[in-house]
Amino acid sequence: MDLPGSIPLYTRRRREIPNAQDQDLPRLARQRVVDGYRKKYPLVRLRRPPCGQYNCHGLTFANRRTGIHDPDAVSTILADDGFREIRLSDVQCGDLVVYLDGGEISHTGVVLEVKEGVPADSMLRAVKIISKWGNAAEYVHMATDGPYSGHVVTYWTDRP
Amino acid sequence: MTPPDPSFEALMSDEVFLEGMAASDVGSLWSRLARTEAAMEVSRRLASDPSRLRALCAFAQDLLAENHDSAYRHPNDMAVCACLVLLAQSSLGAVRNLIERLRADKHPSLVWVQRMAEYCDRQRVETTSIVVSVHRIGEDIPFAHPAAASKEHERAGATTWSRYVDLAVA
Repeated sequence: MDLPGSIPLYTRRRREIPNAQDQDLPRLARQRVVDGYRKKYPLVRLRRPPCGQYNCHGLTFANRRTGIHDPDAVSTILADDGFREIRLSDVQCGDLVVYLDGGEISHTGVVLEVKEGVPADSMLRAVKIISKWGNAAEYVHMATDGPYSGHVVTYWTDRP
Repeated sequence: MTPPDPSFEALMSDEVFLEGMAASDVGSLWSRLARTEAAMEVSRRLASDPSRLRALCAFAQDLLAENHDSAYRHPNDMAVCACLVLLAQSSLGAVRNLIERLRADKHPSLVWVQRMAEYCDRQRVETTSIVVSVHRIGEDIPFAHPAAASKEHERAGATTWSRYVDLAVA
């Protein structure tokens, strides 16, 4: 598919969000990504192979149409689109997970499943999400599994 | 001429590649690459023998020169980005030329390399700013981090260092 490189993208408050559709990796590199992560994170499930068209924030906020490569733009979207941070115990399917590394937003994803009835201190392990790992592939995985497992995990919702 | 360091080859490893591929922005790409074992090992070697900077710069250029299909991302782009992380603070002419050339290169297959070259440039300006301000206005610096320095600098309305020093002294 021939892509324009970027698309008009706005928050609910009509602030423009810079974005970019990058090129795909060559075939061998795509295979290297898939094989490498399969070996490193055997419990995650590949949902969609690597592509450059969008990144994690593009999946979470732009329906896979483009990539958002500026963490400040993600903060802008969260604010303008009416998201608020919630406690783990209040998380529901469809809410967002936002990872922080050194105070900066490093990764985002969408909550798919929350296991109920587990002790509060182990709830973190019970949240299953879908996210795209940077320029790599899309995975279904537990919030604590994957290349962002050492980052601070926060949850956000726009539910009233 | 300094021979290439075998440790440079590790910058092409799966460790570096997979860490880099997980980043969604250039700041996190920088952090992820800098924390890899491979980059830390090269960094230790460069610290003990700065003359190897030139060899690392040549290594990055060799990676970039490799044949590739320009309809796709350059297969070595993460390894080149790792080289840039390690070279960023160097004032060596060859390194500055390389970063400047990559910063200006708008080819889509090198988009991450270009983003990293721009980031390197910004990082270097911020670090240089701190050094200059310490040298010029002594120890009464109201901030301790490059990012804070930049914001303070902006708030003060300074566009040049002499203006900044004037404001700081006033």
